[in-house]
Amino acid sequence: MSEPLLSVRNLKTVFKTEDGQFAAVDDVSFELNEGEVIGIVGESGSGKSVTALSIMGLVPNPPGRIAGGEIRFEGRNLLELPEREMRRLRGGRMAMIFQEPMTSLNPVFTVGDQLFEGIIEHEGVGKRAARDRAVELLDKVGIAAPAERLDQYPHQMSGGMRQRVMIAMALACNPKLLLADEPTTALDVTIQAQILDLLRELQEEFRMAVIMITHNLGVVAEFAHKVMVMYCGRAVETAPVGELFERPSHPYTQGLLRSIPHLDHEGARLRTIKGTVPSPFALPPGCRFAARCEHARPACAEAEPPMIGVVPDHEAACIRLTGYRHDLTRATEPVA
Amino acid sequence: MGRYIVQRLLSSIPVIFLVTLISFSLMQLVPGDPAIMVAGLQATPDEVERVRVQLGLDQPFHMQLLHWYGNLLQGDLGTSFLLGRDVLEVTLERLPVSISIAVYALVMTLLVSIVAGIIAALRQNSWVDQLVMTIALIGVSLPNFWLGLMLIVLFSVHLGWLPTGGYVDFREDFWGWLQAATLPAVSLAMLQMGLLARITRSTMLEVLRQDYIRTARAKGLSERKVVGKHALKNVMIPVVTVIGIIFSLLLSGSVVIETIFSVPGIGSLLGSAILRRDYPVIQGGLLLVAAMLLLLNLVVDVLYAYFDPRVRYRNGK
Repeated sequence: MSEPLLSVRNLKTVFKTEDGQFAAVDDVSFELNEGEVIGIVGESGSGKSVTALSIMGLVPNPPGRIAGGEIRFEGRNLLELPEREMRRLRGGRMAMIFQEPMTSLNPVFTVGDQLFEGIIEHEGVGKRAARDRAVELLDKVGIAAPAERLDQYPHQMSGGMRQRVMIAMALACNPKLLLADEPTTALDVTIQAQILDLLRELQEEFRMAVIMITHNLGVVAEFAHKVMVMYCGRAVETAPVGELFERPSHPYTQGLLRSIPHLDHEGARLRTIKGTVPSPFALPPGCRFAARCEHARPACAEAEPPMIGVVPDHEAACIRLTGYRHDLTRATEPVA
Repeated sequence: MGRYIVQRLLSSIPVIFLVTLISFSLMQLVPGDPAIMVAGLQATPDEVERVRVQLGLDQPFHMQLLHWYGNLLQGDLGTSFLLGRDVLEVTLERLPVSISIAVYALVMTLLVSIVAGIIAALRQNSWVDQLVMTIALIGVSLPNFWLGLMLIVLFSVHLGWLPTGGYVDFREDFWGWLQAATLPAVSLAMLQMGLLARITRSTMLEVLRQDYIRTARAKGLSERKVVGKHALKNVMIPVVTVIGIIFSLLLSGSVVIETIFSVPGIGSLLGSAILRRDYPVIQGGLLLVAAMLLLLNLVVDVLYAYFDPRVRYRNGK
């Protein structure tokens, strides 16, 4: 099999703050093939956005820094690329859209201006050609009267329309990889569905690989081919989408799935995962989820559980799995 | 935009009226008799009284006031008690001197503090940043008259690079003007440079944290474009807002600085007019300065609309 489009190996991104240093992303690995969609799911602070920013080379430094690992994109390790090369990739071969369409566009430049500059930067075309391309892009993302819209400022547009502009901007140079960081979270529910539909259409049309970051499992179910669940900077479960919903193997994933409200359970209380995310400065030894886990046992506190295969392509970081698979050599802790 | 400007010009009329009314009233409260000043200390009471009638100072306050406004409407600012010359003529002679120095100081302030503030922000917490901020703090803390005197001691007395004072008309000898105006302009600008450098730095830091800066980087733009285009125009919004205030402070600071550097500007004219109770000059001088500042603020607001499209559309296209 050929090399995947993107391969992240043991990525570790740390942040230095006044209270000390912590790893926002800690030893995360995953792969993504061309045209494939991965959903990265987790609570706020689980490290999913930082993972995306690390791939884009946009981790704010200081305070952030990629401390280890490897990010291979189209055969090259991005962490070793000079900034000039990275800049060529950014907005060119890979692009990102962000959570907040209201603040992600520069308020003092026209939408057109902000669309052109990426095209001019990467394709080396003149302003006229860039303008034609921009009209085409705005049309593609479903903005009516695109030529007039180009001369407007962001504050003259609604949130949904601004997010469409952001998407157009990201697509400007036909990226192979699109990173979408909660692209619908800040939008009205009806608009959310439209934007998701749009993203899916464009993903299929452009055959882009997409990293869809979300805390919404519904989005994942509809959109992604595979899922990575993150907790406290670590990947706790990776699986193909159907497999994850069918056989969630990490207690945290199970908790997430249970906390989705169901319309048919009328009057039932919303289920939550009890407890709160531990402070990144005071992570417990062993499994980071143990304090909130209903299956926790003393052994959980002894060592961080490695990723353990459930079935091929499906792994989870929980020592309970060693009970099902005795042949695993990595699991040394016998189940009580 | 045209309508907006006309509106603004009309609304400045009451401001001018208030400024002149207040200054007129204040001068009445200040002790000292202009008639004695004009007649001289040796004059007999009779002579003083004659001068008083001649100057119209025997009239009650409200009559003097009405008289002054009446003349103003005809474009007559009166005659200086002491110089015996037309006030408009005297002030218009002096005004360009002060404006040229204030503009020099303003250009200096803008260039130095915007550049310094941006560099400090880009190198936050580095030694460059600390150096800039320390100098800015010193600039804010130094009284300008003291700074002016020290600059004279250093650059004029010891080094002999620049004249101790005086003024050369820039239309006649630009180089001479530059030499004469540099020390007064630096003394005036120091405080403003310090303030504006700090404002620029903190605004830049704030802007660099914005999401749209991240978007610009995600597009693969060079750092020069990210800072020089996307950040800079946003930084300029608050900077432009304070330009009007800075210029008015530069002009009002000129009273002291022009005296130290013996610059024949509106500041030294007003200063001596106040000391000698030359009412028409005080009134006329303040009127012109106020009118100029109002005009300047209008220019600033128009500029503001250029930098911030959100303002432009709120006011109608």
